[in-house]
Parts: sequence; structure tokens; C-alpha cells
Amino acid sequence: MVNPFREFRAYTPPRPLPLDTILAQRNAALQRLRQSYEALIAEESKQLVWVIEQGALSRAYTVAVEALRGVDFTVEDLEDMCLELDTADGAAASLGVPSGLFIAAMCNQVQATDIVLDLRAFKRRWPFLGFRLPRGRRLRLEGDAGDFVGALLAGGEVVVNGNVGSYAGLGMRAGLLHIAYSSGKYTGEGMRGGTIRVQGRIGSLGKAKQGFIYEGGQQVFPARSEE
Amino acid sequence: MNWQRLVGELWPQVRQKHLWPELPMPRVAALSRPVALEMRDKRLTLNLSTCEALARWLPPRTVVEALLDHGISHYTRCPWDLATHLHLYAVAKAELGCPSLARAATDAFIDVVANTYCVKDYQTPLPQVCRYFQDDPLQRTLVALYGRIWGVDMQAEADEALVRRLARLPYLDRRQWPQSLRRFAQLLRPLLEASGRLAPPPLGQHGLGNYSREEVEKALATFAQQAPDIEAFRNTVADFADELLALGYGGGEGEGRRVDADALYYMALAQNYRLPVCSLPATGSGTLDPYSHAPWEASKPVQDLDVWTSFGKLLPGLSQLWVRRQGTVFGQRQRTPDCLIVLDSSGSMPNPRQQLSYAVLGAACAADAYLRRGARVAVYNFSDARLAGKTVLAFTADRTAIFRCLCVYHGGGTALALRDLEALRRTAPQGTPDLVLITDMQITNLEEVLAYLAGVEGRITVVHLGDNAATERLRHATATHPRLRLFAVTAGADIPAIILGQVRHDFALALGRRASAAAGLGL
Repeated sequence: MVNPFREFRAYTPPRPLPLDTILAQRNAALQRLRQSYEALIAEESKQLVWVIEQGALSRAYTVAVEALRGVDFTVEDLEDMCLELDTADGAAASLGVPSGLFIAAMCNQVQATDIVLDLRAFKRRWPFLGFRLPRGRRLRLEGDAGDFVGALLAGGEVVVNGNVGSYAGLGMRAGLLHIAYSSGKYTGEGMRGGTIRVQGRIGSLGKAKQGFIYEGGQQVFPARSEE
Repeated sequence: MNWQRLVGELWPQVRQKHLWPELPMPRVAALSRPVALEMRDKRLTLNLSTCEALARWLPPRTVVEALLDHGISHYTRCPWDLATHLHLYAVAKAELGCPSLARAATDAFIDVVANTYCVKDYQTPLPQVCRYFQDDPLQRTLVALYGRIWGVDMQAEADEALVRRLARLPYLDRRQWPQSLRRFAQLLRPLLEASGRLAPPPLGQHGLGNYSREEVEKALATFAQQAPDIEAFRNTVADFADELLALGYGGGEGEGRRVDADALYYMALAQNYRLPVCSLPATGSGTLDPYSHAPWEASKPVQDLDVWTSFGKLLPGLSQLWVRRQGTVFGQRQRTPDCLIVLDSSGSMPNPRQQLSYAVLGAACAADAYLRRGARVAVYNFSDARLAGKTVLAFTADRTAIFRCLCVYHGGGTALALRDLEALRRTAPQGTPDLVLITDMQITNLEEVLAYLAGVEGRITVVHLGDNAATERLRHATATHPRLRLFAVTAGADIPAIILGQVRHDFALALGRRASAAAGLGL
């Protein structure tokens, strides 16, 4: 008797590809990052009113760093997490400040020291990118960034290839904030050190204490006395 | 080298490997475009020059098998059908903005998906062939990507960071294709923009030409539903206008021929609704019955002789012949009458070319329903018809002309020129046509229209959009009309509830009511 299925003997099951391994690793890393973000949101949602002030920022950032402790991820994982935060719906995703702080914490915790984020790929404009970026790290942002870029910068280098919002370099202590186009109001507010270079126009200067601010190549803080 | 014979030898093995896809025997020919293969109406054609070029480095069997694997994988895996292709293209277009870049990105993505499926599921020499397609930076990047995700040394040099990012997309997860393509396009944008004038992908370009007319029709219907709005549909379809024209879509003559994407949108969307049309008994039985007598003459046939009145004689002047006529009794056959669609396109109605108009969609569904049943459709598209605000199309079966006429928007006031309408109605080629009136009922001469509807012959279907005092007036005035049915449409979900020419239903209701009354009385 002829086996009616004999023609199917040639069939071989799908073979595993390196793509499967790459995706498995990516999904595992994203899962861990997602859990860390949810831990941050769970903690921060206990606050009835979220006000941007020093204590709240420090607390949220510390929670984000704690949540990310022990998570092994790459710059590509960071980018994918940003994409996920950008496209996710729901209350958790719309919390702008904690999301921005979480991305800043990821930038400060990731293995690589040279990080490039293409902001043109995202719809959202997260604040606080480059928050507390430590010495030895370089964050390059392609496209326009939101408010509070380079806030409390701690020696790192933030390069924005686009415009930034208000309060750029808020309270920064050391490092370099380079903005290729223009910045908004209160640039350098509470700045205690480091350098802000704005290639374009500065909306208005904040009350800086120390450090240097340049607008279009000219030093505007501390103001140079006319020779 | 006899390539066609080689294809003939390999084709059964390749088909078996792919579990017998329903594709005809491929052929080998010289293609005008510099691509390895193309598919038209499901037939694969391998480019002779590409085969010969590759045969300089690879055995001919390897070349043919790899190209056939690639072609079949497009058919069985990605894009699978044109609706998926259009959807993917729309995603790429939204991301990149430029049609040529979006096409290039979509083609590249479809190739990566199809090839990866092929390499994962079958023993294929495809990697050996892909290695030789490294003419420009984009192709080099894709080949390097293949090397990374397939685990094969492809000897391609490309931006390592870019390839690492591209390799993280779930190409084999069909549900995530739109998101994956969006990211794929984002990552490849600099390369695509730097390429300038984009050459077709070496393994073949994907377009409407790959599909049959039926597949295109079905895909447009699906895509019209998937598209978020008429503008998204129009933008995508406009990019394929040349290919659609080649497939016979579009109106006008000669150089002026163009694809009316808006009409096509409603035409495609109407395909998704199948409105029922109640058919009517044919007026004649279709047979010739004996009707009267005539005297038999020597030259007349004898088979129609009436032997009873001829007294069994065959004599001129005495014998009688039956004269036959078409019977006037209703036969078993039923038919769908022609239809006159009266569509309000006044200022109170939405412009169908700017947003989805349920009035036009309802009219399109009605036209589609009648045309499907072989009837003819006339269109009376009006605003203030007494001041020439009207577009009239006589009874026709030309689908394109009908939908173009339905998409005309006049704006302005609303008044029906009833004499014109009646004149058009009387031109119906067969019998009394059905009348479908679609309006928001804010008609200046409403009372005249109601009087006309009360007296007009044939079945009337009135579809009104929204509720107002005028619709209440219509409902009240036509409550006892035996041949008029009224439907309200406020959303797309209301359209399938429309039953065109529904008269019998009322009879059935009336009969049912009478029967129940009789039962209640104990009769």
C-alpha cells in the first residue's frame, strides 16, 4: 500500500536562526526594563500631585536607578525601550517627567559610554534627558529635545543636534551641554559649573551662579565687560 | 545553457519543498528591467541576463533554485497578498513621506522577510546568491543584515551599528510587521536618501503588476477598510496610479485618463457591504402561448394547426392556426429591476472627497448591489437642481462612471427638479425602475417631493441621514405607502441593515398580522 504522505518526507522542520537568539535576548532585556519602569511608576503614582522640585526629582531618579540595578542592557535596548515608551498608551506612558528621568537613568546606567538617541523617531518630547549624566559619558541627541535637557549635569557631555526647550542645563555642576540650534527660556538656571554652548539663539538666560554660557560663539555668562 | 530546461527539471523539487504552491511553471526570459525575477499573474519569470551573470560564480542549478525559492517565498509568505503590501507601503510612506523612498523601504523589508522565512523553513541556496547583490550601500547593508540574522558569512561590509539595530526587528512576526517596517524605514532613511535615484531591488520589484485584476480588486476593498480615512487611501492609491491605469482602472480617454482615487475608495468600500435587493417576478413567463386563431394558408407551417377547430382537416380557409403570444402571467423567473439613485450632495451633506460620506457610501452600496445582479443604474446627483445644481447619468452598467458621478459634490441649497427626475426615470430600458433616495431631507420643496413619492410607480427606498423635523414629516407622510421603505443611517454599521426594494416583507408582515388576527378570532 502506498503511503499517501510519503511526499511530505522531504519536509524539514524550521531551523533555528541567530535571529531567534537576538530576539530572545532583546525581549528579555526589554521585559526587565519594562518591569523597572513599572516599579518607578508604581512608586511615583503614590504622589497625589507630582511637582517638579528638587526633592521629587531626586527621589524619582533614585527609584529609577534602584529599579535598574542589576539589569544588563545595551544602547539598542535603551532605544527600543524609548520606542516602547513612545508608542505605549495608557496612564503610565503619559507621565512625562518620570519617563524622562527613567530614560536619563538608563543613559547613566547603560554599559556603553557613548550614547546616541535619535529623537526624530519619537513623537513624545521627554524632559530631563541627560539628567545627572556623569563624567566620562557622552549623550548625543539627534533632533529637537524637550525641557530640562542636561539638568544637574554631573560632568558628562550632552550634544543636542537640534533645538531644546526651557531650563536647559538647570542646576548643572560640571560638564558640557552643546546645543546646535536654539534654546528656550531660563537657559542655565541655577547653574553651578560647566559650560553651555548654544549655536543659535537663547530665549532667555536663567539665574546662573557659576560656569560659562555661550550664545552663537559669544560668551553671555558671565557677562564680559566691554574692553 | 538551456535555462528553461533546467527550470523544468528543478520546478517539481522546488514545488515539493514549498509544499506545492499553486503556481504555473516559471519561465526564463530577457526582462527589460535589471531585476533577477518578476511575477505576473502568478507566473514567475527569471531574468536570463541575471541567471547568466550569477552562473559565472555559482552552478546554474544553485542560481535557479535560489531564485525560485525567493519568488515562491513572496507568494507564500510575504507580502502574501496585495492588501498586506499596500498596508506596509502606507506605513513606510507615513514614516518617510516620499513615495520613492517608501517603495524602496517596503521592497527591501518584504525581501528581508520573504528571504528569512525561506532560509528558516527550507534548505535553500538563497544565501549563496544574495551574497552577490552588493551594488550599493543599501544592498550591502541588507546583505550584512542577512549574514547577521541567518548566521552565514556573507562577506559584506556595512555600518555595524546599523546592522545590529536592524537585526533586532522581529521580521517573522506578521502581527508586528507595521511596527517593524516603521523602525526599518527609520533606520534605513539616511541610506535611502543618500541613494538618490533608487534602482529597483536586484531580486525584483513588488507592485500591482504582480497581481491579477481580481486580486487587486479584493485588496483595494480590504485596504479601503484598513485605511484610517479617505485621504490616506487617496495618497496610497495615487502612488500606484500608473499601475492601476494599466489594470484598467480610471476614467477619461487617452492622455486624460486618470484614476479617481475617491471614486475608487467608495467602490472598494462598497465591496465590503453586500446589500440585499429583493427581486421582482418577471412580468412575462417567457413562453409563447396560443392566443388567437388565424386561417391556415398553404405556405404556413402545420405544427401550429388547431385540430379541434379545423375538424381534422388540412384545407386553406377551413383549417385554423394558433397565433402565439408571450404569456402575461407571472412566471417563476425573477429579476432585479434597474435602479435610479437620487443622491443629495447639497451643502448640508459632507463632501465625499474630504471625508467619508455615509450618503455616498450608501449610494455606492446600492449601486454595487444592483450592478451585481445585472441591472442598470442611473444617478441623479443634486443640490439645487432647479438652478442647474445637478449631475445626471443615464441608465448604464459602467461602474466607473456611476461611482464618479456619485462622488460629485455640488454644495449649496437643496431642491429637486421633479420633472427632470421623472423624465430620467422613464428612460429605464426595462420596466419600472426602483428608486433609491439618499438625503438628509432638508429639501426646500419637500411637500412636492412627498407628493411625487406618493404617486411614483415602482419600489422606493429612502435612506435619510440624521433626524430632523423633515425626516419626521417624511416618516409620517409615507407611513402607509406600500412600496416605500425608510432607513436611517448615522454610522457605517447602519448600512448593512438596508434592504433595497423591500416590499414583499411588508406583504408578509401584513399577511402575518391578518393570520394572527384570524387566529385570535378563532377563525
